[in-house]
Amino acid sequence: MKQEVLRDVERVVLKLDVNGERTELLLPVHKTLLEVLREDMQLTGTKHGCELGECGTCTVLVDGRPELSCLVLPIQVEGHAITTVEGMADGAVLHPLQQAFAELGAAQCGYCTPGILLSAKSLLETTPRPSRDEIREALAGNLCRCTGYSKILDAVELAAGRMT
Amino acid sequence: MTSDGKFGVIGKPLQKVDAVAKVTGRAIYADDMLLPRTLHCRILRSPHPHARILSIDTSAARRIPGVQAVITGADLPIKFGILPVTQDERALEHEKVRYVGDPIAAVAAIDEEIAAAACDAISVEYEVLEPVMSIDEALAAPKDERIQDYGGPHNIHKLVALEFGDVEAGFAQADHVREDVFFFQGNTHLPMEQHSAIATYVDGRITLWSSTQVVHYVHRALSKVLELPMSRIRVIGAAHGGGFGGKTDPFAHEIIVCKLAMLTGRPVKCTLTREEVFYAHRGRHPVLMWVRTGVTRDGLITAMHFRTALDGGAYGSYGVASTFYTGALQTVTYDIPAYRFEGCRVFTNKPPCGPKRGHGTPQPRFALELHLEKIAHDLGIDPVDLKRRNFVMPHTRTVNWMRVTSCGLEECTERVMTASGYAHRDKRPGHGMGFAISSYLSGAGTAIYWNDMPHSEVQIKVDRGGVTAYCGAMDIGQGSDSVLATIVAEELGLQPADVRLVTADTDTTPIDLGSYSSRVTFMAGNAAIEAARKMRGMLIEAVAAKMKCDAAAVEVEGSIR
Repeated sequence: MKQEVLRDVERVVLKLDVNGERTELLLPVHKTLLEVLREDMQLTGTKHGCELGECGTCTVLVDGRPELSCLVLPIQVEGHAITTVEGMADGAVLHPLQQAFAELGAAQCGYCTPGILLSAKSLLETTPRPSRDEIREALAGNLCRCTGYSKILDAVELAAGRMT
Repeated sequence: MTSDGKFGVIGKPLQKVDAVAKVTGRAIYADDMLLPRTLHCRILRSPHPHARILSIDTSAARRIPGVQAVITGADLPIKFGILPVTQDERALEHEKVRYVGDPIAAVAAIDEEIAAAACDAISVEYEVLEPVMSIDEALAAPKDERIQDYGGPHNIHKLVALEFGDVEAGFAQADHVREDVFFFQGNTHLPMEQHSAIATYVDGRITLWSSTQVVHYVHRALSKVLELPMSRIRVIGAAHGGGFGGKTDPFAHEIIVCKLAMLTGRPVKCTLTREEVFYAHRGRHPVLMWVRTGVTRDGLITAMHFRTALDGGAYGSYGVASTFYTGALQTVTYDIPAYRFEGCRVFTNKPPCGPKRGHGTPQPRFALELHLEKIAHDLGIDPVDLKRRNFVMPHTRTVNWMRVTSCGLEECTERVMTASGYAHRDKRPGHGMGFAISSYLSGAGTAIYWNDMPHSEVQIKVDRGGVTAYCGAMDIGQGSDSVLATIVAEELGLQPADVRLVTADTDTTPIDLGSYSSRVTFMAGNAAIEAARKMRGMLIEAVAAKMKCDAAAVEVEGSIR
């Protein structure tokens, strides 16, 4: 049968802590964290834009710090806390950043939004009242083609104001 | 609208109807979909810019375990294209490739890596032809053979020549005539989402979910190439990660996944890599421009002659329209009493250019604005003054028969001059400041294919389950779903969240011609107003009959509780 594919792929058992849930997975070692999140864990909120580390679309948090999941291997982050956009809301209650993005129209096509939300979340955890320039700097690695960024910067400021 | 004539929801800064889905990662884009038993597709693309295909051997690829189907151009020989006059593309090319990245063969396999390995195992024998890589080369006699077998002479795709008013008399009246040459480089849309499509074939029917700007055009192209009636094809717009014109054309990968789903009986998905998105392209045309303008010594334009040459890449796409646009709008900001335009689009062995945000307009605008600056410099007149002396006036018609209705160009300019501190720009070292204006036609008054049918339709269902609006319009992030919900809500006295929406699904929604040319609010919005007003009238009549009162006494407002 054609379906019975025998391929010499090295696999490894990994325990990943994603959004507070620990999951044990058998994974080919070469698969990126982005692929594992989307394909093996069905966490499709994390998007892929280039898979080259250029666009920031696949940003997730590892121990609270932004990382490009297309350039990370799961084996590097075993034992670390991974946060994706699915882990931002508290149940049905949106994170203040999500609320502000929704209210101000900071998400248009929405494809860059998960990555930007996570970069912003990381910023606000270390710098609760960032200046406009500090927000720009923190989001410099996340590209957006729809908004022109103004609404995104406004939304981060609004959320920061509500959180402090 | 409420009884006191005020809008209830229009004009209010309301949250978009899909905002929560977008900020929580729950909007489902085409590449997020994975149906049971989905096969993954990779496409083999040409490494040569211009070559004849002598043979394609897929036997080694077919033997790789996990490969379920391999197809070539022989399986999809029928040509398609976005414009009826340029049906020049094949989903897979088996005779000749015309740019690096032209699709040749496609594989469906149980995973993407096996599909990619199978593509590598396909051997193609080429007869490499001399590539045509510039406008100059395309205008000259080809060294080997022409890129396309239509158009001409040489590698010219389309020639346009238009003349309005007495151009020679206009130049004869001029005190000063200036000529300039400009070149505008091409660029691409770069949506954050790579193009993606997934197809199923069940009970003799295709269903395709795709990141397209126009489900209807994909529907038409699939019907033509797959030789299936439109009733057996369903195209659904998935959540959309950005288009900017680049996802307006029907694309090879959309046709390929349908064909592979038909052959394998399994869902087939193809997501382009970022590199492949650059091959799909349809970006802004590079344009070489020559312009000659006559002016009086006071700077009033007496005549203009404008020539453009567009580097179209390997296929037609929207290029005929882009060519027209490089000449149509010079007259819309400045009063040009006599105007001659000659446009030329050429084929080159590069990814095809097409519609990108105001296609055909920014390039000549760049040239025209700089050209007028240079003329102002020649005459010793401030460039903004010279431009203002030539502004079109409200409620006029341009020499090329464009109707200008209201026009606040002078007032806008006055405000910009004041707010920007333009008069003092020379005194700010390290800062540059220039002045340019532009204009565009929006709304797409002409359908891509000529027909007398509506450009957009909206249907509204009201029953015990509430209000549902159906429209083929595709929300590509511009907010067209919110526009529809808000308009229907306004007319029926509801909130947008009260209106259930079904959009961009060729099985369940009436046709809308797509998200381009800033046409959706105008076309689908007006259809929504018309449908909602009819529904409002029917509801009022029904309520009046039930309550045995005069229809004029029935007020419509509130929300569904």
